[in-house]
Amino acid sequence: MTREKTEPASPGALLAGEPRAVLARITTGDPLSLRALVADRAEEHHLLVDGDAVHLRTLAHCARHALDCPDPLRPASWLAEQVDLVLDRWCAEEGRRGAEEGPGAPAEPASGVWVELAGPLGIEPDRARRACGRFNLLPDGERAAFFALVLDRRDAQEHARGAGRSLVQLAREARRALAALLARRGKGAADPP
Amino acid sequence: MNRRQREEGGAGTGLGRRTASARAGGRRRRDGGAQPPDLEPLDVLLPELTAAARARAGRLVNLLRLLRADTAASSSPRAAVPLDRARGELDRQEIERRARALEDLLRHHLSAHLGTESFAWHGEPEHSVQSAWRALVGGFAPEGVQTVDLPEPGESALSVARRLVSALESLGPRPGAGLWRARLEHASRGPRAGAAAFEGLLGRSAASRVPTLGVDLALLAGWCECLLDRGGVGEAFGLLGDRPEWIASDPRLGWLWTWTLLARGELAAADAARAGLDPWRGPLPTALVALRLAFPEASAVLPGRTPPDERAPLGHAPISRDRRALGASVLALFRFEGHRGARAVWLDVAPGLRADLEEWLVDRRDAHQDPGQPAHSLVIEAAPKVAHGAPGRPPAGALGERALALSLVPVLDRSGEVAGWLHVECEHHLLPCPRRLERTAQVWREELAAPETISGEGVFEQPAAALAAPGGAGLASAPEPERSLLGGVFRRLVDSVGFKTSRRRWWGIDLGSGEARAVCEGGEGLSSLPETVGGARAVERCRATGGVVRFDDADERLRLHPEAVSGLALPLAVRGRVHGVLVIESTRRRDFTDRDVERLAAGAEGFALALRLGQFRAWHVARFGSDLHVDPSLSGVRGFVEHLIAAGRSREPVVLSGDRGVGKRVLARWVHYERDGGAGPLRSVRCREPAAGEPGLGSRPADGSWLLEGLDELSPARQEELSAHIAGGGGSGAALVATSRLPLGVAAEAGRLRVGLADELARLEVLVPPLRRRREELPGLVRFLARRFAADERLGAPEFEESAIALLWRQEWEGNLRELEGLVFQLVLAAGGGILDAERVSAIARRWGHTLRSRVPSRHPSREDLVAALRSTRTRGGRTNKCRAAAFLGWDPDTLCARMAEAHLDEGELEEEPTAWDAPLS
Repeated sequence: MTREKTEPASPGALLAGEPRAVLARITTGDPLSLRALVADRAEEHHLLVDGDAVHLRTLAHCARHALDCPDPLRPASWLAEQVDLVLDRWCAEEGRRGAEEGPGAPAEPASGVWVELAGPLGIEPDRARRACGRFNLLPDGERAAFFALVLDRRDAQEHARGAGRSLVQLAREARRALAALLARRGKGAADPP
Repeated sequence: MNRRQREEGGAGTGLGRRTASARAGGRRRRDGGAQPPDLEPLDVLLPELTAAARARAGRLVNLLRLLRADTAASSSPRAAVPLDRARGELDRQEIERRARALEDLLRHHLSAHLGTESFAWHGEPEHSVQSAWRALVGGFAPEGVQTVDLPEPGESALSVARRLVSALESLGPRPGAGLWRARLEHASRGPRAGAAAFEGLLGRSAASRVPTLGVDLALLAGWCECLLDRGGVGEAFGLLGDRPEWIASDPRLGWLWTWTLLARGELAAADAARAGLDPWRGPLPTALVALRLAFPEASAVLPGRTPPDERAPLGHAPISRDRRALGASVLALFRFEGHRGARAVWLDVAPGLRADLEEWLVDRRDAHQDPGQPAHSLVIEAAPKVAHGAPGRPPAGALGERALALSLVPVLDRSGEVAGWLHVECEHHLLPCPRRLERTAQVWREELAAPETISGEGVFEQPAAALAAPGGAGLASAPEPERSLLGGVFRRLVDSVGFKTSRRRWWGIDLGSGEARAVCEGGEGLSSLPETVGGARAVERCRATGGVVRFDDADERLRLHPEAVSGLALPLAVRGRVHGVLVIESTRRRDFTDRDVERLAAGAEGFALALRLGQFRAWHVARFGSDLHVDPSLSGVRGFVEHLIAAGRSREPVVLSGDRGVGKRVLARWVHYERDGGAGPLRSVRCREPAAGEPGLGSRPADGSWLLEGLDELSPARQEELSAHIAGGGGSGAALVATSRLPLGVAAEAGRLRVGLADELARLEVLVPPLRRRREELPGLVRFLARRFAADERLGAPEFEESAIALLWRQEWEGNLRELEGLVFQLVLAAGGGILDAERVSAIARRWGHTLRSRVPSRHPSREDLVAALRSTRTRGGRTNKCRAAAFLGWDPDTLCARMAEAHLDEGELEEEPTAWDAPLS
């Protein structure tokens, strides 16, 4: 008994046809490695995002705009552009939600990664999501400083030397990023979510 | 990655060297103890955190590490996305794309429909109309989504917009779902309906909460735009002024606030408000573009794009004859009659401005001859004129002191000459678009062909057919001149008591003729009376009892309006007789508290005499062709008039005694009027020498009144005859009214009158003081006579400076009113509508043989003159002004003070001083 090998579809074939058909092809098994691309781009831009949700959006977005791909046989740079576009829109939307925090803000039912991660830590999921929304709209330098000094716990002096920045500058940027994460609308940094 | 792995800080692959230090654990302290690893950066970067806050912050940082790791876990099985979920996302994005295209198309179509006049701004479209349609028509349509067809040939922008809104709503619930529906309401039904729609969506609690949604801000902006579109600058000011936090949150609201302040004439405040705002790059409505031209110094607060084509189609706001729809305080249409001047054929004036309306209409008549008036250049150029003022400095030609802008738009006849003009006056700077006003003026062209006009100065011409008759279809309307005279009284009454009218309507009902007739109405709560009215029993009961009639629930028998559910009928009664009723009805149950009723009833009572006076004036105009000037607000006049009315209602003979020319004949007519409303004849007999054909004393008329003029000159034989008549038939036949130059007692003492007859007639003798003892009346009397004579002679009425009034005030007027009338007539002829000062008055008087004295003798002045001077020159607040009083007397202030001291005259007790009218009825 022999087993026929199914060759993976080429990128050109993946992106051909109407959106629903494209979607079916690029969703199953993630042949375009969009999930990894999302992770890489988010990390490169120092963004705190729900990777699964961004991946989902990217799949649909690429399916809808597949016909716009200039070179379906070599779609890597186009895909990277699309992921960046999706990330930009994601950050803009999440940033608006983050700015609307307050007594009258609409409360969306928390779901997905926010519930899974925030709940066990005793953090309100929706509040955490809004905090990340605000964070992602900060200047790139502040986000990068936060990633380096707080999340990665790098040595500040070493990182400053490597980045060609002064220690004070770096510390201020990281501090501002922390303050943005911790601050609620109208309240100070001493009152994290 | 499983949950445990995530909790341990990410043991998945793909993290690389960047997470190595994170997994390495914390650094050791110098003392060898382990630092909680997650807190160390926080300690350094945020040392001010309390312990509790630091702990919370630490948990957050842990969360973010986990989130980051979760994002990076690309090869996890969890990363596989179910296909149906992906399809759901695909549909969601397609719907979102369609929504954006629909919104862009709505921006294009609503803007086209509303035109360049409107303040409405829905954001910059991302796409052109063509590309938005392509985005909508192309692509796949998710299930259940309504498709939208391209516009049909000739289909209006509004019709397309309606379809677009329906399509947008079919996409399902979205944030701001109602926002576009409200915008459509604004476009299709006008700014008033639009404002209501925005207000409804925003909710009543909006003012109390901080805006957290972009949609809330857009709703508030839409509401404000609707208010500005209809000239509701004051309302926009109130709406935004209560919400400073909202303004600070949104640039659009910031600019709307800035422009509202500018429209109110507050340039400095507008400039301060726009500080910190990014320059406005959207379009400017035409009203603001016009302001940019009128006020170059305000250009910093008026950035933005000018509409590309000035001749772009006007928006589709309906043409209105309601000043409120234009945001105007005055809307008038004048007919221009060349040398005869301009006369109003349509008037819609804010209630607070009606007090000065009569005088203003007189001024408008000849305004075209004054180079300082916009009407002058309008007639010369046959072109619209716009004038802007400043707070406290209204533009020339405006009625209201608070007017900030005025627009005159000519209506041309077939030959291109000015046949009249539209006068629009606003208490803000946002005048309606000139092209819209031109269209409005054209619509009203027909009214200019009507022969009738309105004249408000006291001489009444044919009634103005253009004014809507009060009372609607359900109540008889009073004709002119009652309608103007009595309407003014009711309006002053309503203004003085001041009540909210948004859910109420009021009617001024005149009962002078016997039947109830509406003379004016107002309020927004109910419509004009339809053909089928309520039972209106409240009016009848009020008339019968002289008391307030009230209903707190819908009462078919009592109400006037069929939709009223509560109401009041307030009597205006003099000496127990109800002459008019103020009816106020409401759409709310129990809308009037006891306190309201008390206050309104007191207010109505205070105007009863003014109403009765108005009825007499109207009767006098109709009967004798001339109006009268009586001011019951002057000291003593009110009491005198009430006594006269009481005398008139008795059946006893009334004798009016006083010098020649004091007005006895007019007062005799009033006595006659008080007897049965003046319905019967007033037969006049001259006692000295009855003219041929005049009835003698032989037969007393059977009805009406019998006026004997000059009783003190009646011959002895005729006095016998008169005594016999009085003795024999005093209770029947015509009532007797007589005038006499001498008081009866004096005439009897002098032997001019039989003592018995004098005693018999003295029961109701009314002493009418000479004009020199009634100086307080002079300023008003002079101006009234000037207007009347000017109207009679088709001349401009002169304007009297204070020095001229003072000069006339201090004369002796031995010929009383007749002498005054003569001189004023000469002044009107000579002045030709100009300004008269004391010098000019003296010169004109000299030409006609009069020598006017320059001062009241100051040696031994009468106390009465001192009191009169102080009363005549009181401020509006009732305070005396001794400088002005001295000027009226022709003295310096020190002389006045000295004479007051000598007379022990305390200006604080002026009210207690007697007046010339206080001579008692004998």
